[in-house]
Amino acid sequence: MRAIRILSIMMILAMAQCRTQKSESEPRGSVGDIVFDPQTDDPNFSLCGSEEYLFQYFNSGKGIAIEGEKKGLEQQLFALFKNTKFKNDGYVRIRFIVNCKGESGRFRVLTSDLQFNENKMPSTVTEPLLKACKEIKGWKPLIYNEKARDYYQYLTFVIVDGQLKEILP
Amino acid sequence: MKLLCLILSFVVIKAMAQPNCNAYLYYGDTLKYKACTIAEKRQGYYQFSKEYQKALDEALAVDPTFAFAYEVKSTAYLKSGDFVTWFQLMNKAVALDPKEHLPYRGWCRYQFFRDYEGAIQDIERLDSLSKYDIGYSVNAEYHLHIARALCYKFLGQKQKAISIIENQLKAPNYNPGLFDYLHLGVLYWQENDLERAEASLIKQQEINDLAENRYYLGRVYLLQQNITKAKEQLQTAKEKYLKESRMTDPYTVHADKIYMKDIESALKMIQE
Repeated sequence: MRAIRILSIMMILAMAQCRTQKSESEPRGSVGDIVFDPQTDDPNFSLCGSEEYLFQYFNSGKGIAIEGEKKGLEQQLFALFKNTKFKNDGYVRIRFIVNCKGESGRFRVLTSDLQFNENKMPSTVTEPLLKACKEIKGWKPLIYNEKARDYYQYLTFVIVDGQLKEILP
Repeated sequence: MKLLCLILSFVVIKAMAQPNCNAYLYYGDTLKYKACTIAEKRQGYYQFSKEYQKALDEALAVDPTFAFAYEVKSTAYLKSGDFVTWFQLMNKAVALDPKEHLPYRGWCRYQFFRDYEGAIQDIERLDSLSKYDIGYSVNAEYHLHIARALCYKFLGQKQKAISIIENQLKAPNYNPGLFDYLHLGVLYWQENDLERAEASLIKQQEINDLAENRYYLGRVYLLQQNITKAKEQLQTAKEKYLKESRMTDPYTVHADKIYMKDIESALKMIQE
């Protein structure tokens, strides 16, 4: 019975891999692509691989990859915003690219209310979160075929009653 | 064996999620048949790709009531963090066919957005519409009643969460999920019901022995001031954690997941 259970767990993990692994990363024009914008993006941030092919953070099968694990990231960000009272409630997603050296760039912001209706939150809400995101250190590159790769990552901040309540995913 | 069959059946259901187009033809719905065959063109392409999305857009242009296409189209947006587009697409799918699409929307509202109220609403609405078992999360790890219990827990209703999990575990023909006894054990521990917490966490060992159940069992023994047993469990938790025998998800973080920092802090409590 124990062997069957272990087999079951292994199969689930294998299926998770099937869902997330791909033979190649997807070409540009895909959902969520971030193209370099000279007006807003740091020109010193560069990709190690092709602009055409980037991975997604979940292709590793292990979720967010950062020094100190997600707990360390949460502790750092919750401490930073402990005394901050935000003016708006809702979701703030910041999507960006982590390159093969663990550097981050090309940040894009999406906001909504708590019912997922898109809105334009004031910069007093988004700017501090964006600044904090840009200052995060310790991103680990995604390894595929023994080579460090560039990939998309995002963080979603959930604000309830003016307080930072969750950091996802 | 039952558990294996159950898991396999759900894996197969998800793997075969594309509807049988001929069924629409059989029932005389030629429009949906046409949309369905167009949607099949996405197969072999990655969810995020232009080709995948275009096939679904074309299918929806033919039949805007083809609910399945909205759900499969939504997944790439969900995984990219675009909650706005994901929710719009899923709302359309749910409006057209609530019984079929509430499980996915409800589960994802919990897993990806920690939208506990929204997830409860969806799962309870699904329950009111279903004559039979409401089924499992899309990743097959949780019965949706267990997911609902976790939502109540995070809304502060721990006793209600306990009651839902206990009832689910007593349900006829129900086989415990991969983490059911772990979550129940943690709830008992948080409610200071240490005897039940210990029993649940030991039961979890038989089903899916992870760093998490060992860690929480160590915490239970710490409260019972059984230092020897606490140390033993926390050391085992550390070993399992290092061997990656722990809660892991490609996309998000499980409820009650622990980190190395948690284990080290607990071990430090013993040393002090």
